[in-house]
Amino acid sequence: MMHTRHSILVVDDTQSNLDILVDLLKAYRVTISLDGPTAIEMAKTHPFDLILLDIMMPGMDGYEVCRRFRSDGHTKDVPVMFITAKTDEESIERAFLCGGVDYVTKPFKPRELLSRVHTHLQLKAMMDHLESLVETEVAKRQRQERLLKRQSKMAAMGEMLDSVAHQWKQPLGVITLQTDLLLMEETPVSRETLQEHHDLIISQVDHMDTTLREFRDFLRPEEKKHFFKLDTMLEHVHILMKDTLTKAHIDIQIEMDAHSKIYGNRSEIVHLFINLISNAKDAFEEHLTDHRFIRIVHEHKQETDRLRVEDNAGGVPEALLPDIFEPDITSKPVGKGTGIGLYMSRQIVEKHGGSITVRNTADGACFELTLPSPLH
Amino acid sequence: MNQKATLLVVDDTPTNIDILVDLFEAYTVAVSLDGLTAIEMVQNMSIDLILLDIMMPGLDGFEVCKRLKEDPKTRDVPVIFITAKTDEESIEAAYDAGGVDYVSKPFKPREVLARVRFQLERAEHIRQLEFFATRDPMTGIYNRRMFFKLAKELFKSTPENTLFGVILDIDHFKKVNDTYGHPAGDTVIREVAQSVFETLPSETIFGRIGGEEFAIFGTFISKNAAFDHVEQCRKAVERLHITHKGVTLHCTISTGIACKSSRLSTLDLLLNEADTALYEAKGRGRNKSIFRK
Repeated sequence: MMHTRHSILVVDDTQSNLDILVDLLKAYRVTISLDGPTAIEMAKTHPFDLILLDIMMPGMDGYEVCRRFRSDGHTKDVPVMFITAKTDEESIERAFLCGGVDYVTKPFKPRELLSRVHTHLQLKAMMDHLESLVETEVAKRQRQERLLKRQSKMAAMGEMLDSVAHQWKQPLGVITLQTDLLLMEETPVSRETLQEHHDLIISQVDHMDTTLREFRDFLRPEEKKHFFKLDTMLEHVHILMKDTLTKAHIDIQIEMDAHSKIYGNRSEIVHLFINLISNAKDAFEEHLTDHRFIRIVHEHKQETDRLRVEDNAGGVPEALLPDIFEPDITSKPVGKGTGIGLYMSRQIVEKHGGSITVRNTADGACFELTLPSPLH
Repeated sequence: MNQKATLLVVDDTPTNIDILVDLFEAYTVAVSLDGLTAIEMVQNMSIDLILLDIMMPGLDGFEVCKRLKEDPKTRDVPVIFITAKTDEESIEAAYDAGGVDYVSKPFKPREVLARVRFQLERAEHIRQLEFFATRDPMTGIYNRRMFFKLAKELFKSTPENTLFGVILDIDHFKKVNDTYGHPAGDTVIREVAQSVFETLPSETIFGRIGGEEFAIFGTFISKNAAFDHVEQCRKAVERLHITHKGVTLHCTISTGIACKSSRLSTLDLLLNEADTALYEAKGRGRNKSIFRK
């Protein structure tokens, strides 16, 4: 098997020592440094496989250099072998305590040194290999987690597509009707009549365009966070869910300052509200409530935005309350929900540095979320 | 390390042993006066590190180390040579034989303690890395890569008609995920793996090779014995009451078994045959073990 040559950093303040080591280690790629601080800088940009380190050097001694290597993420796994004239037990013990893997006294036996170097390099290579295998396993786990998120997004997309289809039914009906009516007009058709039909059709097309744009924005989320107006955002949520809400006879009540702005990733926050509202809608379907409402209240206090989403849909079963934001918890009947919606909601809020809680009120559930808001 | 590490001191001179036993009072120390006994002890006890003399009657230290490194069961135990020999040839030979460190006598006690402590830490670190690199993080059984590595080794060393490969799959697993969510599915996978693992003889290789797919590889005295063991696994899973967040779930597995033969002369052929048998088990109503004759 071909090996790329191992690279070794040798740190010693005596040029003649360096010369001997460079000559001895000619099978390897050797880099030298005459002092500790330079060695530390070099090791930050170059991944060495082994470091040979003198102890007595002016400025920073070998122990301190070794400690710095150990505490730096780039070098903490690079084995350090001490090579020194110091032979007292205390020095040897100290060298191992500050993270050295071996200790060789000068004058050293060349073949012994080569054997030790070879062994440490082999062990390092083996551990690196194992490390990369462990990383592969971890990466596999992360892929599964991402898959879960994608599924949740797909589910939300499916709902929205339904919503778009429903919302287009009516305008498409109106457009068809207008064209039929136009055909029935007596010829020649007057300019006014044409304009009337045209305006009616265009207003329907505008409406369809708005729905479509919302849908597209949701599918192509922007990565950056920024300030956006809360009322326009909720209006968009309303547009996306209008059909669902009308069909379920749910009234949305919004209480907030007309100029309220919140800070975050807009499409994710839209996703969050869609989740919370469809969660309430599903709860309404389980309960026969009259005068169904979802109330959204906003308060801004001490650089924090507090949002309450309350409903009168009967509340969350007490047993589920502690786990409701876990990925598999659902109060819906088996087969109804995947139980991912509220989990994703919490993920979104936490990604924004905020928190989400739920409690039961007299006749429903109340979700409370806080989102940090930097100064404008 | 929480537990006291066990060191094995191998030296033919009782006075040397006495000195080392005194020095290592913080550890559990086992001793051996000769090489052959030492090898046997490492094979049968849980030894964390060996301090090995070179000059001994019978097997010398180099030979002992070489034999330990050849045996997969003992090769991971670090060996520190501790000897009166100071010539370069001996040091080189010690490292060539697989030693990780070399200390000459008369030694400095605190140096030896520091070296031993470091080698124990490194061995523990390697053990942990090895564990996480070879196990499926969800179930703790072998991951796909390790399963195939061990299966390949066993396939090479085992004759026909006694070696069996089994592919095993959880029935209707997708339904569990869709109905109860992924974490419930994960619990099912964990519990099934645990149950099969406990039912199988300990020397059997058992790994997770896909999402809800597992494989078993091992030697049994006869086809009937192999089939019986697999059936016991199937029944054990059938009996499981898996609870997840207050819900009790039941599940079953289907398995396909095949035996190494002149026709199934490679690992791939053998496992393909087992896979075909599994497919048949699924087609015939699931919760079944099928042996392709």
